[in-house]
Amino acid sequence: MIIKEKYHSIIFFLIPSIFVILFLIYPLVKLFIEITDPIQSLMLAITSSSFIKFPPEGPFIRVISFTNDTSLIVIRGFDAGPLANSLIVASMVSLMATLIGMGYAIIMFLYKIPSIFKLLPLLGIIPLPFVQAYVVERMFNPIFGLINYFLSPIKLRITVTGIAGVFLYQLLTYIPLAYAIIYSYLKTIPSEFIESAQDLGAQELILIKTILIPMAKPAIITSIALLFTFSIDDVTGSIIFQSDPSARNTLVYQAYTYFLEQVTGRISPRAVGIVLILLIISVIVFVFTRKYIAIVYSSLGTGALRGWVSKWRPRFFIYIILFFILLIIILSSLPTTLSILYAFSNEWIATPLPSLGISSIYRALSIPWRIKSIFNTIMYTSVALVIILIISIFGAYTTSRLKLLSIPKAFLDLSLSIPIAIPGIVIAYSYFTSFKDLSIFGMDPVSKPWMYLIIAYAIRKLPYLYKILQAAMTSIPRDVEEAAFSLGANIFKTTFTILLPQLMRSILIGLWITSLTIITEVSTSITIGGLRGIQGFEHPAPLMYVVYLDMTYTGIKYGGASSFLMLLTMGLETLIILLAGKLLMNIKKWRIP
Amino acid sequence: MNKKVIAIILIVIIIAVVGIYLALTLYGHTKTKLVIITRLSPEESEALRKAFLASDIAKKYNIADVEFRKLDYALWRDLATSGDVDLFLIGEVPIYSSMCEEGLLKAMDMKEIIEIASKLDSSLIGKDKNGNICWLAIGRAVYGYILNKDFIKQYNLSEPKKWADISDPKFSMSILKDAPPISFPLPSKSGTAKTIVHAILQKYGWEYGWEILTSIGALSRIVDSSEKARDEAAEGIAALAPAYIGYGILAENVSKGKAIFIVPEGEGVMYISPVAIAKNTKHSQEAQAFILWLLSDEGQRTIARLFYYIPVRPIENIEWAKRFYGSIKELTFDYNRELAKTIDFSVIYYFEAAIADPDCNAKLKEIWRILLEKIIKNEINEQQFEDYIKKIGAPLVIIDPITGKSTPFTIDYAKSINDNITKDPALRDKFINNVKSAALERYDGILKELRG
Repeated sequence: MIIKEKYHSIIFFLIPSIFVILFLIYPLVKLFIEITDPIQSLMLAITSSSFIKFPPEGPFIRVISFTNDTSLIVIRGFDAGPLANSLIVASMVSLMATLIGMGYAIIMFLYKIPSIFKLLPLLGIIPLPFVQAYVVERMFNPIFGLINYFLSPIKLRITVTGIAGVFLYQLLTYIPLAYAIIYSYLKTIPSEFIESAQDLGAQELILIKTILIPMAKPAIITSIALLFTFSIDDVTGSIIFQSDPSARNTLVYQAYTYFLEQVTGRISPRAVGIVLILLIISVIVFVFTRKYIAIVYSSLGTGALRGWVSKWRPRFFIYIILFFILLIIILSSLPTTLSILYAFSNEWIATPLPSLGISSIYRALSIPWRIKSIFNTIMYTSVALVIILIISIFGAYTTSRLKLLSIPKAFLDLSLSIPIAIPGIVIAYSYFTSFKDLSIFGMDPVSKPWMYLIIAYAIRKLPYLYKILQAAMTSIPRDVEEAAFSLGANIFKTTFTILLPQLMRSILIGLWITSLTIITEVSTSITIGGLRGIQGFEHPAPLMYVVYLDMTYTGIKYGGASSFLMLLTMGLETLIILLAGKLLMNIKKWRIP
Repeated sequence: MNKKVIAIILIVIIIAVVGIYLALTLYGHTKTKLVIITRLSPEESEALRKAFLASDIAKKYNIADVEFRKLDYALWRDLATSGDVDLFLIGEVPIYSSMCEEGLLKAMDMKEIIEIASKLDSSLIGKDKNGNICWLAIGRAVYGYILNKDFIKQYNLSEPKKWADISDPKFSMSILKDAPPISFPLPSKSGTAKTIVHAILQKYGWEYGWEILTSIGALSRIVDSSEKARDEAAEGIAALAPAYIGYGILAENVSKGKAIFIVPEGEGVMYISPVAIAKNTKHSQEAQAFILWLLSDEGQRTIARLFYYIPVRPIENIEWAKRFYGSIKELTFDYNRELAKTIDFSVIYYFEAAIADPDCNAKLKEIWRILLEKIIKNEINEQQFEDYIKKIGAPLVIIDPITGKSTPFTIDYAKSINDNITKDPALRDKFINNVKSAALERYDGILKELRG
């Protein structure tokens, strides 16, 4: 019996371990050690001209006067070279978005405020890559941008270009994320803490300083770390703002543009060096913050036993603060709001707002390859979710329940958590180079890109569900399981019939969050996803590759269609998960009376 | 909701999704399907596909479908030998020539094709060392530029009649309003940009050519595709973008006449659109049947209608071709493809390092802006302005990445290093870095001088 249990435990450990060794560790090692010389690559990247520019080059801002008395303020930002630009933008975006998100979250948490204000920023969470960046660029267009439309009576125009454009786009789209992370974490704080402080006469500021901020520390640090990683891996901002030189001076854009030489098809050692730098930065951030990220994950899907329900009405000065933060929140919701409007528009050419109509929907749904890409993405996402679920269950059970030696356990925990910190472009190129030789079996990324896409999605998005399950499993008492064991149930039966049904809510929330991130995943979708083109009804390209082509090649015509396609796909996948959830919940009821 | 109803709905959805997916994926797999790697956009491919599938040749050879894949050149070599691919269509002649030399293209042996080829001009055929046909031109087009009249009017700029005119300060004044007048793609990503770069060097000579190219860089929004450049000129975000006639006419239509397509007099480049068979195709006869259709009267008319290509064979009743191409002979010059091929990579990388690189490009723009301000304030005259352009644009003296010695970037040097940087990626990265360092040093020096 003991031998059998040991054997089962080994299976639980081996399944996730083999998966990460095959599809994470092996490709990375092959890319950075076997295919290229890592030292030479790093040196080529670091010693290339103007890799770091000190002092940074400006001008940061320029004011231009036109003959009709109108002034144009051009904000371009400083250009400090690819390394410093990426680090500065990622740091500033993550810190500022977290600070603003935190401020808003605390006010929403602490005071009695209509729900509409609490829900408003959540609109901005809907990820619409490319289109949101494109919309930000349009909002600040010096001639017809929405912002400049409002500023025109005072004869002032503002435009944001280059690296400042990348910064602004990321800041606006990440504020809602920061808010969501911190607000949902605050909601898990037991009300006793706040009530006790109130009873002791603590005013709001004291409460914020001594209770809320210290208790929300894991969420604040997680928000900074996640947004930093997202920012440093975001290539869409640079692509959309590329026509100003400084926007192209980011690590991810340089790696993405120059990795494969277009004419000769050879790999650039300098680009490999840049990819390696990206990886090192992301891993450092992850290692220093993983403890807090784990705490926040564990709060997802659980909720406080008795959450704080505010009865305080805001005082006058709070209203003033709220007014200013609200302005920023509204501004940060605009890219998503306008992207959604764009989906239901005829066109958006040289006007402040898109003209409403159904042409975008027609463009999206009247072309075979676009419809096929929706099917592809739904299929890939669903299969990747199943893989993620299986690996996460085995992985989470192994790291939270099994008695294993600490080194293999730590190895597995790190391997299953770290992919969130690995830029997508690194995974994409490591697959492309590592599995190229499988062409003799017709199993290389060029022949079967869909296979590698699914695996890449599964590997990269695995940590979301794994961490949620790990935390949830840790919080469930062992009594019932032990009873099952003593009645002769094995580890598989116990896990799948006793433990998992109790975790259904966490699993569903995790699956839903993961599905949205897979559908809108850019890096692997536009590299591996495009390897077999997008002709007709037979291509294997995912939706994001079609969106990328439409937005970069077919230009202004397909922005609305791209937005609609992404919304539709996310809606369909959400429906599938909801229905699957309903069904699974019912199965749970059948099994456990 | 009743659990059984939910279960049924879910199962129906899953079956429907899987069923439709499989139906869509497996459709047509039983008949011959040609896979064609191309640079055509999905819309263009779809139009060509429909026209071909409706033809008698497609029926005769039992070709049920044609799949076009728009893929970067970087992947073409691997695909030629993969066995998954049958043809290559449209794109750069140098790519086809080098693939032919490397034995990656299958020789055409269909009697009808050889007969048609025997009547074509030799510049329209690529042959391997044994004299077999590697690639054939299916059409010709002309390169010029799109000019947005609205942009010109808005910023009160001069209208360039030829490429050299863009160096005129009157054309570039919009840069003072933070509106670069040109949208120019990276030559490594756009065949249009690459051909224009070579054409300018051939038409104006090595020294003057680089001066014009440097001016173009200083005045450009550098973008990564000719489609983006086209859209920017069509929408009026830029005044000028290089384009082939098909995109030029598209821009005219989209902009409702605000943008026009121009072939600068004596500077137009005739473009050849090739087709070739992949080395390891499994459908050699069917692939050649497709080529035969492209060369037929029907095929030539189709590509003329879809892409504004001039037929390679004399075809009657294509009126628009006479209208567009009636005077084209006077507008174009004898572009030397062989010369372009021998310096192709060194020229692309030099341009992208010294001119299009973000750091160099930002400095070039700053130099240009200061020069314009000085000319407005009468601190320099037009002659001095031109002298400065010579100074920034003259080919650089760079450190040769092989010998480590200082070497001027002459045409002979460009020829000598071309093959090395193609074969050795590390050497190429060093070459790019050395060019960039030399350019930055020069631009910094000029900026210092101008700022006093």
